[in-house]
Amino acid sequence: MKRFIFSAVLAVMFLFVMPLNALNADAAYNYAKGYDGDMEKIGLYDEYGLFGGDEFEEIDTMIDTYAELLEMNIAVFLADSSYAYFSDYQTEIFADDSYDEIFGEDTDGVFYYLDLSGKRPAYDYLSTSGKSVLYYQDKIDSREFERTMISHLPSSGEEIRAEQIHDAITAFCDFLMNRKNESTSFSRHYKDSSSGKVFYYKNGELFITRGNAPSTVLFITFIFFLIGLVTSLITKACVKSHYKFKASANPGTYVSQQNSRLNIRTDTFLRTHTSRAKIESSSGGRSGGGGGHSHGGGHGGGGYHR
Amino acid sequence: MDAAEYKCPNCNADLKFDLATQKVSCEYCMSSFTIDEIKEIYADIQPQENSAEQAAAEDDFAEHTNLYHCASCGADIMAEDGQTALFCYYCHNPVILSGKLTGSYKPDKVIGFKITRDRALDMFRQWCGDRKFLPKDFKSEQQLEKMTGLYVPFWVADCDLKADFSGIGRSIRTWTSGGYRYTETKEFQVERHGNIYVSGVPADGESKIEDLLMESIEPFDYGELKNFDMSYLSGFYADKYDVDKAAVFPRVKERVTKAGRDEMQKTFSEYTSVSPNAENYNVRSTKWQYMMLPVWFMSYKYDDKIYEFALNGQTGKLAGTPPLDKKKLNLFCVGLCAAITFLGFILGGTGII
Repeated sequence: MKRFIFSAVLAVMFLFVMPLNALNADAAYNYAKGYDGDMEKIGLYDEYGLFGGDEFEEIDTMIDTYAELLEMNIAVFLADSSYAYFSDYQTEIFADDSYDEIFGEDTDGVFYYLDLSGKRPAYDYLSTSGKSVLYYQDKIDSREFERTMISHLPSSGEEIRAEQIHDAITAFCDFLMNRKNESTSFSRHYKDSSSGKVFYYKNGELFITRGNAPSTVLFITFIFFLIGLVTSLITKACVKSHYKFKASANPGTYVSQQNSRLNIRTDTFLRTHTSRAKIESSSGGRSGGGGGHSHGGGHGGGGYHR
Repeated sequence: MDAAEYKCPNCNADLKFDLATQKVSCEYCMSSFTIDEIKEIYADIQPQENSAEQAAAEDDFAEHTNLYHCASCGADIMAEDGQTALFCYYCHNPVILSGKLTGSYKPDKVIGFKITRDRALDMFRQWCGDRKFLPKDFKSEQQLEKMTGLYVPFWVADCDLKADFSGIGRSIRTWTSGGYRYTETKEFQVERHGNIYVSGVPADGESKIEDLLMESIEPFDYGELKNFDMSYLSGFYADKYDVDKAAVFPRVKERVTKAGRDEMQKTFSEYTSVSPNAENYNVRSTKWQYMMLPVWFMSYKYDDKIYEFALNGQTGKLAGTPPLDKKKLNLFCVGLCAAITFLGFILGGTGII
């Protein structure tokens, strides 16, 4: 019996492992490309035409310097009025796709979309890729990034002044430099739901894979362990109950109908009463939809309205 | 009237007059009767006298029956003088010949075995078949050899039950109209009084065998009852009763009362619910028969506990407590838990969930 149970467990395991091994190979593949330091691509993308030659060069050089220090790509994009028709979602897709087109998928870096299109409310968006996802996602989620930037940027509809945007870009670079979270903790991870990619550190190395982060795998395994434990306990209780003695005696079979007789059998009507209750009813429904990216790079990020 | 003149019609103990209730009552089985009732009951009972033929049958029984005693568990086993009992059907220890039985132990009736040993073994194997966690040796040939064809002593009672019920019956009708649910409740005064005759309720007279086990292999078909004859014992063993009819009466009374209550409930089918105001079930008289009924019996000792298995030797109905191999079950549960955990690990690792 022991052999049988052991074989059964092994068989079940193999049954699942064999087809899933192929998937697992894809899941284990690390998509992380790192940082190649191509300064031609790093810098300011001024579609708005806000900065002249010297000022543009100064900002571009500043961004290059920070990129070198941080060892990640940085692009700051100033959107002009031609982007005014973008919805928030389109802005996010544009930022993610633009990053992938400029620097390549799953490289380390950020793409900061500064909305100077005149749209109200303006929507700025920071697209992160590679290690910057884990560097800044918690700051984006906690709205620390939003609070930092909004204090340096003009409100929607206000006049756009070059020196104010200059200051904002400087503040942005300072934010990137000083507010990054470099923790390589086992439990830190981020999942990009649109690409299905997950970002995490393993032995200090950044991993971008299509599976789950090790901490998530551990959590799922633990949940399944609990399910297994409960299933086992229920199984044990059921088996134990199946092995209990079940009495099935029915003394009613011994009643002799021929010799039994009820001398008095009367049913006298006493009273009747009627009550009523209102019938309650309820109903409801909902519907929804969605869109998609043109690139497959994994991204984090977040935006804010001004 | 001197109450001591009368014996309890249920258990044969002396009846005593109770001043408080003005009834005669039995201290042994707790039955109670009015003076009129006891007179009426005794008027119905025909005096039984032992005929010469009956006395001869008892002598024959005493002469040709050997009694074996198990020193280990105390069981007394009867066997006809042509057969030697070697082991105790209950604890499987050797038994010793302890003498002859008196004629008073001769049963009135007997039902012969209809299920053969091979058929009984097949049925037992079938019963074991869907249980995967039995100890390995429970189904072994060595264990199966312990299955014994045993005539179990039964006290079979025919009881006249006086049933009285008084209560409120409720008939509830619901319907909907104009967005409202209406509930109409009609109440009736329900009276039921009469006699319910419960015939052939068996109670085994062997203290070693679980009462519920014997109840679970009921009923026996009394249509095949025969007068007891020593030839029925040939090839089988029989138990000597160690619980007399007075001792089994409370059990019989409980079963008869339940049967009477169930029977009474059948007359309330037109009501949604019935609340009793007064309900009384009293066994007026009991007629006893002492009979031997056929049972294929097997006991199995596992983890210091005795597990019993019984099969009705006439109808084939079986019952028993299967022993559970806890090690085997624990191993299975651990394996199941490990397999589900591993599945979670694989599904989580591949990102499927």
